[in-house]
Amino acid sequence: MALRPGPAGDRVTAVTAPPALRDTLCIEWGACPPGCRDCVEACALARGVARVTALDLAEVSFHGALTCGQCGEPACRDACPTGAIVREESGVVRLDQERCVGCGACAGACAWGGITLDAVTGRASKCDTCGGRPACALACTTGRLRWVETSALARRLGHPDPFTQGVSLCPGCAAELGFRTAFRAIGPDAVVFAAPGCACMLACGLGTAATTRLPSVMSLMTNVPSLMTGVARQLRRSGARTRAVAFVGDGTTADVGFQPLSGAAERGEPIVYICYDNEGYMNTGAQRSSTTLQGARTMTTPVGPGQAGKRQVPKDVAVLMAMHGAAYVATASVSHPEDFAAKLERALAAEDGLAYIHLYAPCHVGWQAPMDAAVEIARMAVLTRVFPLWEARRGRFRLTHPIAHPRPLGDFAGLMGRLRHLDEDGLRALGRAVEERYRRVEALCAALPWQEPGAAGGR
Amino acid sequence: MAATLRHVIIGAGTAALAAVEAIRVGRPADPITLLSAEPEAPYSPTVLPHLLAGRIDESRIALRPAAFFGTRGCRLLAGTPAVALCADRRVLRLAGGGELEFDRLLVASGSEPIVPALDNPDAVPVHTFTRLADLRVLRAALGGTSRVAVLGAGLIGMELAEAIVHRWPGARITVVEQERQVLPRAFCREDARAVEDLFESQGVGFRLGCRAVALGRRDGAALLTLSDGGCVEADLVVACVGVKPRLGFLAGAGLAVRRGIVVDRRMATSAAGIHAAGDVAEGPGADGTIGCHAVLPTAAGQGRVAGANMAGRAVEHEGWLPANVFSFFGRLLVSAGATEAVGRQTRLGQASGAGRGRLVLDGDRLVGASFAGMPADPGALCWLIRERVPVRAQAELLLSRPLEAARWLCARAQRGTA
Ligand SMILES: Cc1cc2nc3c(=O)[nH]c(=O)nc-3n(C[C@H](O)[C@H](O)[C@H](O)COP(=O)(O)OP(=O)(O)OC[C@H]3O[C@@H](n4cnc5c(N)ncnc54)[C@H](O)[C@@H]3O)c2cc1C
Ligand code: SF4
Repeated sequence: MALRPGPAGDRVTAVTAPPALRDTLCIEWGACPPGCRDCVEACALARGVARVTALDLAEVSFHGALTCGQCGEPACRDACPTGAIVREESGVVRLDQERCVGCGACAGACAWGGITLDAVTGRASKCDTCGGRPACALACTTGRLRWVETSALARRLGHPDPFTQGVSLCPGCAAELGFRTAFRAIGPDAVVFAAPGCACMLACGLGTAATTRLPSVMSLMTNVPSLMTGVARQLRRSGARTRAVAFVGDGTTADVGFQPLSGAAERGEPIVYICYDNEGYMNTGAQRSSTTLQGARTMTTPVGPGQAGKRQVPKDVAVLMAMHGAAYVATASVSHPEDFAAKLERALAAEDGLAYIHLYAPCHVGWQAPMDAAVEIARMAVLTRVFPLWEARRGRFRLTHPIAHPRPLGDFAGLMGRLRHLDEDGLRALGRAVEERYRRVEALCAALPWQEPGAAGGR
Repeated sequence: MAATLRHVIIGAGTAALAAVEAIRVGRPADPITLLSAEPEAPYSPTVLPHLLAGRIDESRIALRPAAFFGTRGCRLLAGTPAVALCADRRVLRLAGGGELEFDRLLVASGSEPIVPALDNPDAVPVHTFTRLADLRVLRAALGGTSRVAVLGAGLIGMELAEAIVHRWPGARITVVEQERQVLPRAFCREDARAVEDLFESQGVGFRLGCRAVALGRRDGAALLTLSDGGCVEADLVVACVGVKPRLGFLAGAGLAVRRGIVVDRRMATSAAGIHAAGDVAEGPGADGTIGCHAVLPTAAGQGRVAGANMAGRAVEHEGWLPANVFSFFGRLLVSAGATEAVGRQTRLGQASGAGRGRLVLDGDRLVGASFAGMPADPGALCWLIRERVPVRAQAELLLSRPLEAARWLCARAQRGTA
């Protein structure tokens, strides 16, 4: 099991830059107070002609707002006969009024209500996000129209994508997304450790041409942290800053390989261990693991007269790891990449011991959901309190994304087939377990509150 | 990624540039060569009336900044028309004797003006108005009190008339149109009547329902004889009777051609590796009709689809849909889809104050809409028609608040929310 360098970049003839992540206006659909025109008026005041449309339609009881979505391949630009519309590097699609002749072709090409031809001025106008300080968002007091800064995330994920071209996992895989996100934050100065499971296809390119550009080690399920211990110590001894990072599944972490993980945490090995939790043994046909959600149907927890899915509540591995007093422990979700990236930064900074991140990564195949559902499921898991987002340093906790008003559990359960058999009683029982877990984390945060590094309490 | 493909594009207009963007989405390194027939930086003929009206000057009409071609990794051969195509050898012959080999070819050469057949055609010059060179001639010839005869009251003729009035309010313009209304394919009779009134209030005269049949000369001016026996005296005659695909250089190339180059939904011609898009292409419409459809959104959409397929992605065009936007004398005119109800279709109309609106419905669905003098969104209306969104329940709302209602209906359907 020698260290194996990732294939050199020369296999890739030309690399397309990943589409720029950009700041964006986010408007909650149809959730505006009736008669409110704050955004429109602010825009008109700031820009002469309003570029946001109030869809204030009392006749059909609809109250909302709409503006340009700054398309990646803008149809308005392609149709403009004077080159007045340009998509800038930042992702903003800008219309130069000085070049506009008012022909209206842009408005005929856009199906999103993003651009309007004004007969009075004889020119088209569209949103260009006011250089990053949009007047509409500053004026909106309801929070329905917000400015979301995804460029902060782009900066956090500043490293190149870790994969060579092509990937051998199922389309729509959240583990793949998690892997990409993790190593765009961590960067290339790392050795990846993998174990049998879906993600080893990503880490070690088993059986395919595609793999990561990082050096990777294929381990057994039973000894990942032990192997990492040796490699991390040797790297340290040789003066390298290269980090040993595991990206392994819940089967390896929570079941088969828990003992060496516990040992490494207790010894304070300076390794970063990321468990992507898809709640089961997914590349062998979706069998239950100890992190599978209570009530979920899997291949080994069937639904029938004698049983309705998994009977046990999931093992909360992240809490167990925090209880080791590990240098850093966090939960994260593929649906909250900014939170995940920030936690990876803190995990890398915790060089005086083990850092553990438990990443929620729904498997749409094993959970019986459509191909595009994984991220939405993950988002709903957070919003319904099924998967609380928190972090702990040396056993001191805080919620990073408190959910004051949880969405009904049905919004989560309805997204996947593995919980479809749950009747109202079943959902209620699941709801009680979910609440209990959330309250446990809340209680830990209250009893053992987070301390910034440097403050008293360090080891 | 497959081996490098050499892309050649005949034309550097709207369809051509949309194709470049689409090729570059997946193929950052393929060489792309664009040809244009004219020496100027690539421009769109749509700007001509606006240049004539003085709304914009020639320094601001380049479709892309000069640096664009370099940063996109493209070579632009301006003023280099293609003169012949050898489809099986995949070679294009250029004016001046050069040849270009290609793996993928896009024909996006646009259109050329139709010249009307008139008796005694050489009596006076008949101008056309589709390229920059035409504009320069007209601009030099026009003056404060010119008498101008415009043949054809379609898009180009009406835009030309408006531009002349805008720049030279003292000019006397007569528009001759064989149909009994202006803008016949864009608006129904009544809506067109309102447009005629608008132009007449600006001093533009119309001779509707008759054709120009002969040219003559009287006192140094042109004398145009009409099919109804009348005549029009003018200093300048401009024929705006329509455009046809520009494909003279394809003679003998073996591509299937009817009115334009015949293409399928992927903008593929009858020859492997050769695509066509824009005014030159004869492709499927949204309702399945095959035809040429010479407007910008169609050229852009077809160009994008052609480029995607040239890059190896299987993408289909949604089909063109008749759609027009005009802004005449500060009044907005928008039309999309059918102008008249046929068979069991119904037509609803509403006029209030300065604004008027019309919907053509087929059962629950919108098949046509037009609005004059009120804010409307042509892109949203097209989308509702194309996607067959049921709108009958909201017809009233669509008529009274077309912009908001159409956008709401679109966004709701696009989101899949109730
Ligand atoms: C006066 C006028 C007003 C218009 N107004 C509007 C409007 O308001 N709204 C609207 O939607 N549409 C309007 N149109 C129509 C619109 O301009 C066209 O539909 C659109 O430009 C077509 O794009 P294209 O790419 O097919 O062709 P074009 O943009 O015309 O480009 C054709 C390109 O091909 C090149 N070329 C031609 N022959 C050769 C050759 N043999 N070799 C190499 N290169 C060649 C040309 O140099 C040019 O670069 C108007 C047209 C005119 C003439
Ligand atoms: S105006 Fe329309 S087409 Fe242009 S970027 Fe905005 S949403 Fe896209």
